[in-house]
This record gives sequence, C-alpha cells and structure tokens, in this order.
Amino acid sequence: MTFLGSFLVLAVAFLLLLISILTWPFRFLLIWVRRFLRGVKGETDRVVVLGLDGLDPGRVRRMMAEGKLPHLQRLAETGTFSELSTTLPPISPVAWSSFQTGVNPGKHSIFDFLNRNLKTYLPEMSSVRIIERAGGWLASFGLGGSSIRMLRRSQPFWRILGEHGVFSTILRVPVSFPPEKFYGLSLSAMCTPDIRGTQGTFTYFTTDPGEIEQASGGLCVLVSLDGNRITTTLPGPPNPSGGTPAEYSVPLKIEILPGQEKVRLTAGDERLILPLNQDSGWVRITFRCGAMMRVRAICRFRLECLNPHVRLYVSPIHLDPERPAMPISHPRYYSIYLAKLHDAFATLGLAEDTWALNAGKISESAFLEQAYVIHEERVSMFMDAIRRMPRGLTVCVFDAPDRIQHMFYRHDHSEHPANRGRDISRHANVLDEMYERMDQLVGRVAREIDEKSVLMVISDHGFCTFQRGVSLNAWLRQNGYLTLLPDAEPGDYLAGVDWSATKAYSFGLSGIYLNQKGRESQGIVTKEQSAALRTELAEKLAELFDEERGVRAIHAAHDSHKAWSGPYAGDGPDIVVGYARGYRSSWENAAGRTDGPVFTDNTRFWSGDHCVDPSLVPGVFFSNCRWMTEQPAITDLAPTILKLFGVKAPGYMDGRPMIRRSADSAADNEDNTDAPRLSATAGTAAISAETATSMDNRGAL
Amino acid sequence: MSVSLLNRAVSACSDPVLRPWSDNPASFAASPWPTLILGSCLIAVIMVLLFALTSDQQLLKRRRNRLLARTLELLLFRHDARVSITACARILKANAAYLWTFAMPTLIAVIPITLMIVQLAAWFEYRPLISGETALLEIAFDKSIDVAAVPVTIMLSDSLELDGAPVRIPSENEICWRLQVKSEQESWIEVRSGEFVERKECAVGQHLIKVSTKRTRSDLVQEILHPVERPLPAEGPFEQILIRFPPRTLHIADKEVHWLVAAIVIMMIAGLVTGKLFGVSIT
Repeated sequence: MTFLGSFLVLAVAFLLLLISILTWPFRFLLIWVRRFLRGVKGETDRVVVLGLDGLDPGRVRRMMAEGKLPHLQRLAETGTFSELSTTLPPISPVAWSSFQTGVNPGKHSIFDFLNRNLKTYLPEMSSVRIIERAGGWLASFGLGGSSIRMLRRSQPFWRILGEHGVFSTILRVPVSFPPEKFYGLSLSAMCTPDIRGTQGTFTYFTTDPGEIEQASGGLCVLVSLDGNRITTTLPGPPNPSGGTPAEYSVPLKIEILPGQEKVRLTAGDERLILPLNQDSGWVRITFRCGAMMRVRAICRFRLECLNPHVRLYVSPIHLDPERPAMPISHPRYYSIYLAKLHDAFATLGLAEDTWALNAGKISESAFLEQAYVIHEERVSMFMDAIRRMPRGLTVCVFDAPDRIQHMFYRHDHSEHPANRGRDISRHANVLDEMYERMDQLVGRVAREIDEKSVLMVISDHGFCTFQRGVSLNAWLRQNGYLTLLPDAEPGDYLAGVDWSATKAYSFGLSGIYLNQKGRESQGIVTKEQSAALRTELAEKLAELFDEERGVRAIHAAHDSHKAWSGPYAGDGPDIVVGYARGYRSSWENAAGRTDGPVFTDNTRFWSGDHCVDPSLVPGVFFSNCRWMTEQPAITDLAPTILKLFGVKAPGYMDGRPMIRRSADSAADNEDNTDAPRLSATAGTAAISAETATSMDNRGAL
Repeated sequence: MSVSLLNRAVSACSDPVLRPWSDNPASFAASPWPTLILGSCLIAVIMVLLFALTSDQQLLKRRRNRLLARTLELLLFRHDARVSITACARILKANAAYLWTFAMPTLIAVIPITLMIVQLAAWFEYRPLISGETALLEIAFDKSIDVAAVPVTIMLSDSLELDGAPVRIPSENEICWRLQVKSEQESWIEVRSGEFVERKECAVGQHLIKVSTKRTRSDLVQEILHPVERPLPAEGPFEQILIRFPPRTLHIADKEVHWLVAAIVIMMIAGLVTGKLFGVSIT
C-alpha cells in the first residue's frame, strides 16, 4: 500500500511537472507581454520585507550603540536606518493596512481593532464581517451559506504587482483575513478568529473555586477531582443554528499519575502525557458538529499546577491549518502546504495569548515560551518562502516584538505600577534579549538573499510604557458631554448611556466619536455643530492634566476630519487622542465603561503600549540599499516597492516612492511626480502637536 | 526443524480460528469466502499491530506530510520553472526518506505475514479431491537413485485406488501414478522403498480443508512454502511426494478471482479500517 501510494504521489508529481514545463513557455510569454505592454522595467527582481511589529527605534539605537545588534548595525552602516512615520492612530491594524495599501485610514477604512455599530453602539470587528444567511448552520465558520467579508478598503500593493506579473508571498501581514485573491500566496494574520469565532479565548480548568472569576479573554471552568481523575469537556465552536447544544465540545479527561508530577490528558481522540509546567505542543482536536460535520482545530495545553489545586491552561483553539474550517490562505491549499511542511502552526490572528498572562492564568515564562514557539514557526515559513522565491516580493510580519513588549515593558521601569508586588528581576533583560533575537533573524535573512535583492526591515510603530490609564468616557461624563440614563447601572459597551443627551463618547483605544445626527441611530449633534464641538473637545483634551503625576496626559488631540482624507474618513473617530508617553485609554474605557475615575494606575502585566500620539512612537526602517528620504512614512513603502519592480504607483496612494541613492537610479529624478518627500520630522520625540497636525493633513501619519 | 516448529505454531494459532468455519456443514460455511475474509482480516489486524509496535508513527506522518508538501510545491510555485524542476528533486528525496521509514517495520512484519499467507494458501490454493476424481501422484527420488530400477510399493487408504501402472521418468528422476478417489473419507498414501516408508496426506472431501500438495525434504524455502506436513527425512530415498490437486476457484458475480488477489484486497481494506480504529498509519 505504501509503495503504491508513494508511486502514485510520484506519478502525480511528475505529471504536474510535465504540465508545468509544457505550459511554462506560454505562461512566461503571457507575463512578458503583459509587462512589456505596461512598460514594466524594474530596478530589482526581488524585494524582501521583514516586518517586526513594534520594534522601537529608540531601543534599537541604544542597543546598536552597545554593539548588541550587529546585523541591524550593518544594515544601518551599509544601507539605511531611519525612523518610519506611523499612522494616526499608531495601532497595528491601522498601520499595516496603510503599509499594504499606501493610503491613509480615510481611504482604507481601518481606524482601530473595533468599530461601533451605528445602530446599537455595540462593538464590531473593524476589518471583518461575517454575513450569515438563513439556514447556514455553520454560518460563523463561513460554511453552510455564510460568507466572510473583508472590510478593509483600497487594495494591497501586491495585487497591483500581480497584475504586472510579479509574484508575491505574503505571510501574516495583519488585516489580511479573509484572504484575497491575487497573483501570489498569502497566509492570513490579525483578525483571523479562533474556532469559537473570537479573537482568542483561552480555557482554564481549575479545582479552586476561588479562581472562578470573570477573566477577560478567557473562560474559567471549575472542575472537581474524582479520585485522581477530572472529567469535563473542552468547549469548541458555537452552534450557529441556535439549537442544542449551544456549543460543540470534546470530552476532556485529566488523570493525575500517582507519584509523578504529570497528568494523562485525553482530549477527544488525542492522548498525551503532560508534565507540570511544560507546554504540550500543538494537539489536534476534532469537534463533531452533528452527524456529518467535523471541525478540526489545534490547541496547546499547559499544566500550571497540581497541588493543592489542579490548574490546566488551554490556549485559544486555533483553526487547524491542515484542515481549516474556513479559508485562511490564498490559495486555500497554501496553509495545507505549510502545515504539511512545517507541522501545525498558530493561525489565530493574535496568536500569543496576552489575555491569559494579563489574567494571571499563565506565568510570564509560559507566555514567553509560547510567543517564541509561534515566532519560530513563522521563521521557518519565512525562510522557506525566501528560498522558494528567487524573484518577486516576500513579506512576513513577526508579532513577537509587539506582544513581548506589551507584556514585559514594566521590567524597564522600576516605578511602573504593574511592578507592585511582582518580581522584576527574573525577566529584567527580556526586551533586550528579544531585540537581539530579532537581530539574529535579520542576519539570517540577509545571508539568504543576494546583494541585488532589496531587503527592508520595518516596524509599524515603536513602543513606550503604559503606566496610567485614561477613561475618556469618565472625562466626557464629568464634563457633560456624556449622560447616563437616570438610575442606570453603568456597564460594558456604553451600557446605560442616555443617547438623547449624549454629545460624544469614546470607543476603542483612542477614538472619540460625536453622537452625530443622521450617522448614529440616536445622534443629536448636527453637522453644523460638529466642527465647533470637535475643536472644543480637542482644545479641552489637550489640557487634560494628571494631578497625581503632575503632567499632561495628552500630547495632542487630532481632528480626524483634518488628519484623514478619502471616502471613508467620516466613518472613523471624529477625534483621535494622541496620548502622552505613559498614558493610554484605560482598560475600563476600552471596554466601554463610563464610570470610575478619569485616571487609574495600570497594574496589569500588559505594561507597554503604543496607543499614544504617533509622533512619539515612530517605527523603524532599515534597508540594505541607501535611500534619499530622511524619514519615510509607512505609506511610502507600497509606492516604493511598486517602483522597485517598475510599476507606477496609482494616483490615489498617499505615500510617495522613495529614491534610491545610487548612480543607476539617476533617471528616477526625471519623474517629477515621484519626487522625494523629505520628512518634516527630524527628531520625532520633539515633535509638536502642530507639526503632527500638519503631517496628518498630508495623510502621511 | 525450527521452521517446522514455527509452522506448527502458526497453524496452531490460525487453524482454531479458521476451522470452525470450514467444519460447519452449513452451506454458508461451505463457501470459501467467509474463511478467506476472516483469515485476511486476521492477517491485517496482526500486520497493523506489528506496525504499531515497530514503526515511528510521528516520523512516518512527518515524512508523508513532507512528501505531500513537496508535491504541492509544484502547484504553488508553478510560475517559476526553476522552482518546479528543483521541487522534483525534493520530491524524490522526500519519497526516499518516506520509504526508508517504512523499511524496518516492513522487514519485521514481512516474516509473520508471509507465514500466515502461506497458511492461507493451504486453504485456498487447491481444493480437495472428490469422489470419482483422479490426480497425479509424483514421487521424486534422490539423484543417487536410479528410478528405472528402484523397487517402490504404494499403500493406499481404503478411499483411494491406483488407476493404471506407474510411469518412470528417468530424466526427472521421478515415478508417477494416477490416483482415483473411491469415497470421501480421511485418505493417505504410504510409499515404501526398501526399508524406508513415508506417508502423505491426501485431502478428500467437499468441505473447506487444508490441502497439502507436497511433502518435501527439509529445506528452508520448501518448508516455509509447504507448512502442512512435516518434511521428509534427508537420509531417505525420497526427495518429494506430490499430489497434483485441482486449483480452487473463487467467483465474484460469475467472474473468476484468484484467492490471493481477493485476500490482498480484503487485507488492504481491513488494514486501513483497523489502522483507523487503532490510530496507526500503515500508508
């Protein structure tokens, strides 16, 4: 049987090769003709973009000076290193959307992770909408009559490249779910849901009743020991038909092995021995959804404690890339190829489980281990893609720098409120070590490519500390812009708000929306009133003072109507709050609560952030080529890469192509429309609110 | 000697499982199919269990996946002829690695599986003689003996008789007789040459029973292939005693099917099902 199967695979492979070879001249001719007709003549055959989410230029500079980042240092010396202006707001889905489209948020319509429903004021995913059709019983998985729609507008520049015959491999660039068709391969990232349709819900089984509290981003399950066994179920996908059961699950048995610090786990059909404080690796789970349907998934287990209580952590349940319940790649079999080549890998958009650490359900070490496992999976995929792509565009975004900085930033600031009662020595060097690891990755990539290839190492934003939370809703309420219904109990998601008397409300991580008549279902602010109200709010917010710390909490409040341009500019927040360093929207405000104080200490593990004013957290731009632009913007990268392949950037793009500093690119200067745009910022830390506003007007931030 | 013991052990294990079916006089059991299916399934289960014990299932899966991934590369990177061509080298390499992973478990499994298939052959390769039928009895002698002159006496059970005089074939160094079945009961043939006397079973009847076509001198291959009777002594004059039984025919929808083809198909299906049940990959 084996030999027969093996022979068949070989036969199919050679048949495919034969077809490929026989049709290759025609395909080559077709692409060549297409390129010739469009006048495509590129400066390079290959561009590799290594995205390191959240890599901060300040730390990079310091570590390069200390000689800790030799590969980045080499790029800086022989090529280019500069800051990369980010978007307003400097949030990953916004910034990476601008990276891939070359436009400001007003044109791609991604303003935050979440958007509000104009009818109900309830949160919705900003980039994806699942449209359920009647009778679709697995509707939320894109099966059985439902469809998933990408809400990001405009188009990624690799689609334009594809139209000009340039092949691309796009790995884990945020806001690429659901995967879009183009001439190339892509693997979705941020916004890809877990098997429950959420952005990542961990499960935590415990025998300790004291631990069963509401945990953000997680599900705590109280279990009881029967002898040395625990019998329970692992909750899986919801039943979209609304019938019984409400959610599908698999049986889970935990058997404590006597005399050993191990348990025998049986999850569905899978059995494994799990020692204490060790990660199980990916375990495949099959959910039987009715008689015919099977939903395949993967998750990781970790036994956090055995005595006096059993505590078992189960990661969010990811879609199995080998048998995805919904498309996560283009073409669909690309994820299957990756899973077969590299074994199972994380598919969830926000794969590193920051929620579990924030809720204290896993240790910092466990989180770090998980983040690096996921990072290494991506490294394997990226290196493989580079090897298979001698020509064309290869892009991969690594999230580990962002996630690790979010969760370990407190170690850089001894006075951080999150350090109270916590150890600060064990992981004191985590951030520097992570940067060194990223530097090694840059070294590996640089070694893989030839000198004719263009390498870009970029980050979408930088990082800073997050010590104080600001509740904008509480401030709006205190200042009479937001009113609660009489006797209303304030709750999450703006519960209890009297919309008939509310002029403005905060939603998401940095946005303030006017309750505008004709836009919001219960809006009261007319269009004529809105400009004045925006100015009034912006001026007042700019003066918001934290008495406890004795500093201003807001660097600048941006009128988005001036900052953004494009057909969707009116869909985003009316004011984008650019917080000062150390400040961010409080956890309560982000959850839509309207009560509590304006300022609170951030005591969570999530101790670093970038949801501040964009001028304070620029990203990095490294390249093995010399570029003339002093400080490029993230929107400049799309037109620049298009130009490198000889494709003229579409006129709607806000970014401008950068100019290579080399003799053979002198002709570039003849193209006046592509003239270099020197950045207005020399030292971003010193940028003023006015400068930022003027930059916003260009749509570059 | 050791092969004989092994044969006896395998017979002792398999016969009790298969015999109740064959001894049942009901018409269902008279058909060879139930026994063939049972025997083939038994072999498949043993094969799967042996595979589970001797193979590295994780490695096997990894290598199979890698082979499939390399094949998918041809589709994913078909725009690039260079990648497509080099993908073939990777496919060959992945295929070799995959087959190599199977080598040791296959080698270990092949010994018991061969012994069991040979046992199955004793049941299904030939059928017993029936009343009134004739068959050739061939006795081959040691090369040192002149068959033209050697005195040989044949003794038969009551159910058998000789039909005509023997034919001596010096070029083959053997003597042939034609046997005829008188009645269907336990039958045997006794051959005497000088002081040496050897007995050979002769399967007679309508039931499904094991048929031993040949009794041969102790020889590894011959003993493996003819496991039903014990080997002839090496010091005797006889090299082999053979009865040419008629081959058994199996039919599916009036189409003749060789028993081995049927058994392999059943084994494949049963192997896949059992593998799935036990979580063992055999492909």
